[in-house]
Amino acid sequence: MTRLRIVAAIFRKDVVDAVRDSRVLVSLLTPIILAILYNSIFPEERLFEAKIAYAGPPDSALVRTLEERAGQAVSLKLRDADDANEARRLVMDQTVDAALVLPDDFDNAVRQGRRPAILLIQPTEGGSTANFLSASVEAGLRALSGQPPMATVQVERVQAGSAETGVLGEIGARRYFVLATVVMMLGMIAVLVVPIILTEEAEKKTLDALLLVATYREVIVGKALVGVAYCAASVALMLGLTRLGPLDPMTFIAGTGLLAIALIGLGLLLGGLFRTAAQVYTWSSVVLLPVIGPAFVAGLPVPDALDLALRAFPTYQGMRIMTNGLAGKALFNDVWFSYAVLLVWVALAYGALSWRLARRES
Amino acid sequence: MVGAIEVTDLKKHYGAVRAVDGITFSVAEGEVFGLLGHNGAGKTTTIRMLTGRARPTAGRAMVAGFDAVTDRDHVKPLINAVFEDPNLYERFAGVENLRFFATLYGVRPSRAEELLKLVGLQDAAKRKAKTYSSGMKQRLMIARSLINSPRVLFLDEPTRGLDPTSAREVRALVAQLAREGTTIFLTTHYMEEADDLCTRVAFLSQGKIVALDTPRELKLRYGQRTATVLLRDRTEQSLRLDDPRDAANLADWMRADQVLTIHSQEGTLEDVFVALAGRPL
Repeated sequence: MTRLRIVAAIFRKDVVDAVRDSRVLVSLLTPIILAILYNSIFPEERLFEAKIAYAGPPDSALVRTLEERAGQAVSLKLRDADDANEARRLVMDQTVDAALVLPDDFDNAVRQGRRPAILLIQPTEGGSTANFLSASVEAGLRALSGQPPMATVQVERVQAGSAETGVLGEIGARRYFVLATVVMMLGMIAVLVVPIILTEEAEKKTLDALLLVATYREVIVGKALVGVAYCAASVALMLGLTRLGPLDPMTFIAGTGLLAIALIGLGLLLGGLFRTAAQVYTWSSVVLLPVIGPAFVAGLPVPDALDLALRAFPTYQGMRIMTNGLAGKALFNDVWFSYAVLLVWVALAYGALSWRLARRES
Repeated sequence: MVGAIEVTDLKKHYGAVRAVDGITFSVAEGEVFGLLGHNGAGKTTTIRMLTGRARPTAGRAMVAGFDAVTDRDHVKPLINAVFEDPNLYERFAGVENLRFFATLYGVRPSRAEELLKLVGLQDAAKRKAKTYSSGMKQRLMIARSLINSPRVLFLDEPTRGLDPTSAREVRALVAQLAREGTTIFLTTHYMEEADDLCTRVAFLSQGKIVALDTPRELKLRYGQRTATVLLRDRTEQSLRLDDPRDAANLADWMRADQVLTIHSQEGTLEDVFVALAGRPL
């Protein structure tokens, strides 16, 4: 029977003790620094920034249409203007790229078919923002007046080469590589930090004292929880530092959580193979390469044979689920397979761990 | 009455190696019992089996009234141990080490401060354990082993590697615990330590107990009874008390008023060990 008091005590002790170990600190800081680096060297992946001055009723549906159409692709910055004159001045002195001026009671006037006047103020040379504004206003007006679309648009997605070829383009290099470093962080914690704190316990023989009161199972559960806590805190920190917000948080959390649990299981197994924490640290690069590497290529075009081989790796599959969670859409279509692969890894790792624990306890 | 430790034909084999080979003994409540032997004689393996850390190949070990193998959950709260090597959380302060174990055993945290005072470490309570000297670490380990007020305390070479002063402090602490009624199971290389502290000792050789009795009885049984006589001509003569010729010589010197001093020399546990194992520790 696992006693919560003992597990909680071991967990609290390790959460505090581990960060006092320079090796653990380096393992935690490396991916964070890398994420910040990627975050700053890769450009913001939005297509362009649209600065628009707006004078008109604050709750107009046309403004909402503008914001909806901007979405992820356009960084829309609306600036309020008092009237058409101020809007014009803002365009002329290039404070904004274009301006939109609506009369009061605009929305009702459109609905009643009174054909109110809209003023679009653009620089002579036009530009992306002006085009975006014109197109958005036209679409918004049609929606406001209740007109059905003039044609039905059917979108057909066809597979051209690898299905994942466009993932990097879809979410942008900054997001993609920051996400890969999040997976790297999970790997560092699970297969480096967790084995270090487990191996050090045996190496320093503190495990002997611990096992006088705790069972080996309780020790393992305590260490696993430390890994989970570090993963959760580190991922939150990295997302915060890099301003990365998953658009589908549930998918993102499911992928991250499942991957972390699978990797921590592997880390606990690894911890049993080494005699000293220094050995874990020394051999970490050999272990980390196959753990972290697949995450970085999961969204890149790779030969089919390599793609097939990489599909067996947990970080490859975890990255696919997390990418979908981050983008808020199915950039990878077969994530059920990714979940299945991760679940198999969880079952394998914890099955082997249970078998080893049972042998040890007997 | 059931003893604190009851061991019956206990064996631990690692393949062909018989680390412990059928030992039987009992330790009474409040007794200080010493297990002596060479490196590899099976002392630590015995402690590992008695503390539930190793499963015996055969035999039975009862500790504090419970089977050390099948009733480990009942045994654990009643025992504690000080191990051969320092095994502290070195990045933690002394008091943090003890508080952690207080939480594990479910005892009040203030017990940590009480024990630090008991072992004379109250002034170093907030210092990290890695800054402690060997003697301080050993005392901290003893404090840790008392956190749950154990009925049976296992001490595996508690003074190994300590300077004489630190070793003396640790021995004094063990003697104090014994006076307070804790049953102590001690393994040591140091015969004088065993002689000072133990009410009974067992000699372990190649996994078997070759002798078990009080130190005095063992010394009388296996030690040589000798005396050193200093004569007026400043020569020293060593006499065997059980040799009639030496007895006659002593009588002659006494009659001739040649004897300045006589020092009787009781056998030591070291002598006993040499007699039993064929080589010194």
